[in-house]
Amino acid sequence: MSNSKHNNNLRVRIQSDKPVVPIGKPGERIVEITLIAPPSTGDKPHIPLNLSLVIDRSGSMQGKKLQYAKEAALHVIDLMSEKDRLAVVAYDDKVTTLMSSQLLSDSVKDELKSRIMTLQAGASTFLYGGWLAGSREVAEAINDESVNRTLLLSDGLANVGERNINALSIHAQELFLRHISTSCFGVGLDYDEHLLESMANHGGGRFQFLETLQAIPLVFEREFEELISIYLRDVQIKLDLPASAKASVYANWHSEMEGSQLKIFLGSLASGQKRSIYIKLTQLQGKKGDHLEIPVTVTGRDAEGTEQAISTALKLKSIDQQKEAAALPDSELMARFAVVDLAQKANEALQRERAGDRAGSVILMRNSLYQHSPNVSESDRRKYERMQAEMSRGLSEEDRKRHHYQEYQSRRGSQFIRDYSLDFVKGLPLVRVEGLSVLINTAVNRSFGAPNEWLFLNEMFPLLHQYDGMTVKNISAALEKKVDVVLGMDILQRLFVHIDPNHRVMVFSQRPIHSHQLRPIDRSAWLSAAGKRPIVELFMAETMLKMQLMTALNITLLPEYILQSSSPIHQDEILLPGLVKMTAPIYKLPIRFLEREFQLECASLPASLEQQLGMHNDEGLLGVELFRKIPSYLSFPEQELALVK
Amino acid sequence: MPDELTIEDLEKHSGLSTRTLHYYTQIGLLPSPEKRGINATYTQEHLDRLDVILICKELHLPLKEIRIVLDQLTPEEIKHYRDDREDLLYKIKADRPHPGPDTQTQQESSALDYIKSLEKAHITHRNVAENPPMLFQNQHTPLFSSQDLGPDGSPVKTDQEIWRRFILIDGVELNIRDTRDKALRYKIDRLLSFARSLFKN
Repeated sequence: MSNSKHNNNLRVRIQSDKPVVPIGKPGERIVEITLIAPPSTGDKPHIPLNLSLVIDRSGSMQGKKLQYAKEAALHVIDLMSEKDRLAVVAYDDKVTTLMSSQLLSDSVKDELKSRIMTLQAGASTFLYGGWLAGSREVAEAINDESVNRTLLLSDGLANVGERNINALSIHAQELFLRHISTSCFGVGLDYDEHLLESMANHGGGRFQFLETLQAIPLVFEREFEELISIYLRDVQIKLDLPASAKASVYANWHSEMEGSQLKIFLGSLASGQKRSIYIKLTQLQGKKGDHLEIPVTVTGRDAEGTEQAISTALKLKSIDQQKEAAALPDSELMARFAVVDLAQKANEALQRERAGDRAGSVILMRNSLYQHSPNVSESDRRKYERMQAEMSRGLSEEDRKRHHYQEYQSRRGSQFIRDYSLDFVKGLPLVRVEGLSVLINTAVNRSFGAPNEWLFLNEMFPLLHQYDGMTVKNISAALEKKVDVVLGMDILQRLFVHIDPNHRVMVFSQRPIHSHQLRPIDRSAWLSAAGKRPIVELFMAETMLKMQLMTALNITLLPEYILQSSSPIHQDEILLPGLVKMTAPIYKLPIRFLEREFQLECASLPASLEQQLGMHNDEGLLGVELFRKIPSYLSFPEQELALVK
Repeated sequence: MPDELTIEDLEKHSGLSTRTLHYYTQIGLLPSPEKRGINATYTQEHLDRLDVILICKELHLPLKEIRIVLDQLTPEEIKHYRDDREDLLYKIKADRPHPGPDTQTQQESSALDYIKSLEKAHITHRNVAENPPMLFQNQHTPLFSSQDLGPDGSPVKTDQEIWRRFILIDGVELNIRDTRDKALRYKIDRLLSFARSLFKN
């Protein structure tokens, strides 16, 4: 049975695996409650922020880690407005408050920035002390109007002061119940992922794994984005259970029983955010000729601080126990539930594996997979089978962190977003994805590579060995650099991609990543992906041209007639699609695109290619040069290409 | 009263069983005895602390909270509160602004109060760690934890596992999960006293 209710556009949907409850025998139901916040309108000012940034400056942070952490701090300061408050605390074995909580006027911003720049790496990791001092700053400046959060960044194991995971989690939770949330950022491979995640879970914030150091500022920006787009704070779901019933909440959400009322604490909900919670109810008793009704109330405070409450109910029809047993469960709901529960079990398995219990971790994973077998997707089944195989051999620290982060995101029902380091090799975009070197190639319709299948953004993708005569071996030879996977349009067409050549970061996401507040994109071009050929129309050399976008082409290729009026600047070797090398005259042509002007290097389109393009009425091939120069955003699902300001 | 007391003396004085007294020692409510095993001896300080513990128990304070109260007090203060029950009651109330049958406790103690209680606990925690005879380190739980108090102020069973860490000497630790199983607790007691005697020097 499902029921959905909305108020001020917040939608609450409640559903159970079967819409019935047995008579004469205690029944069990899986209940899914989904909250969907309306998307941001973009014109409302954000709720004032009251943040504290807690930076690990233990010895291991020395060098690039600390440098990027500082850069991230400066970036956050720039993003904040004068009605926001920020404190900055650094810790090694001692805790230093760089600046206590203050409203960020321009002069305060400058002062704070210069203090951050002086930060140097020190000794050991007094994580608890740093977190506590940061939270104290937030607590002292707390008020009803603000969003209060401590952002804790760490690259290591807590080795001074309190370091018990239960104790730290309880403290984080107690502060969360008192309106201060904690988000945790784990840098590198030495931090304790279970500790940081647990603090964030109990603390009502988010956990983030920062693998690509140069992406640290971007990740902080995303955290900031979520904070300024908060739609509802202190969100709680309350279920009034029948007297006999018992409940357990999945995915580590904090919950409490108060009499017969189950309370689930969700923290805040950002605009456009969707959150699903799974609960198992047991000991449910049906009554003949009657419905069992479980009232559900969702409460929270909106941007103005006004209490919101939405009430709905789960209604279960009482039926005969044989009929109840025979009723088919909602397979879609069970599939969604399987994703969350398996991710939870995978997390437990990872914890066991870390503790040295490889056999136990494999058994747990195998049993859970078996239990959910009718509802598990093919991709998930393969993913977890592979994970079992890896766990039985023992995982590397890197794999532990990656698996853990992946399962964290699955459990929390987040859509995947990951940052990877980007390099341009012979002008072509090569991304480092979990130890593999990946070439982004929009001219390829099926991804191919060395492994048979590839785990990317939490999905298993089968890979071809060769495509159109190309293999990763001959591509590697042509680029003089090892390429493991060529990522083509079959995968790309479902993704949102942010290319940041300045930070050398490429972000792949399953959800839109542009933000109205931070990166106003007032103009974007239509990026058609008809027949998996991404097409852009742009104004070049005074002519409107329909160009196919080719990320694995270092130069733009145009029909002869466009180039006729200009003269070449030099001769150079170019690498044509299909890896044909040829020497050609190179031209520099002005291009106008999205009201901006550039010079692009171009060469003449070989006759053979011109014919192929002619079949689709395409006039040229737009190479990757644009993306080497300007941060850009490619949204294949929304068919949109934008240049980031 | 003589300064060298036995466990029997403590039993007689308090009316508590040996097992309970051992348990109190284990969870850090009472300092470890001067000597180990059958020859274990106790001091007046143990008696004073026991008296305060008994008063706190009458006030239905959970053991975890009693420990926090005790950790904040010097031996002189403990003597004072033993003799001045009313003052002790006042102190407990002052530390806990809204005790008793109030489920709102967690809302009414502010984040700042909570942090202050942690800071205080942290200081005592450090002192404990620096004090060699008492080799027990406990995860300190705050005064106003909603985890510990049910609607009627009594301790609530949570599913949270509680692990205790016993540092035998620098570099050697025992980690033991709290258990309700008395027989098991007794065995753990014996294991601990044996382990301690092993590392005594």
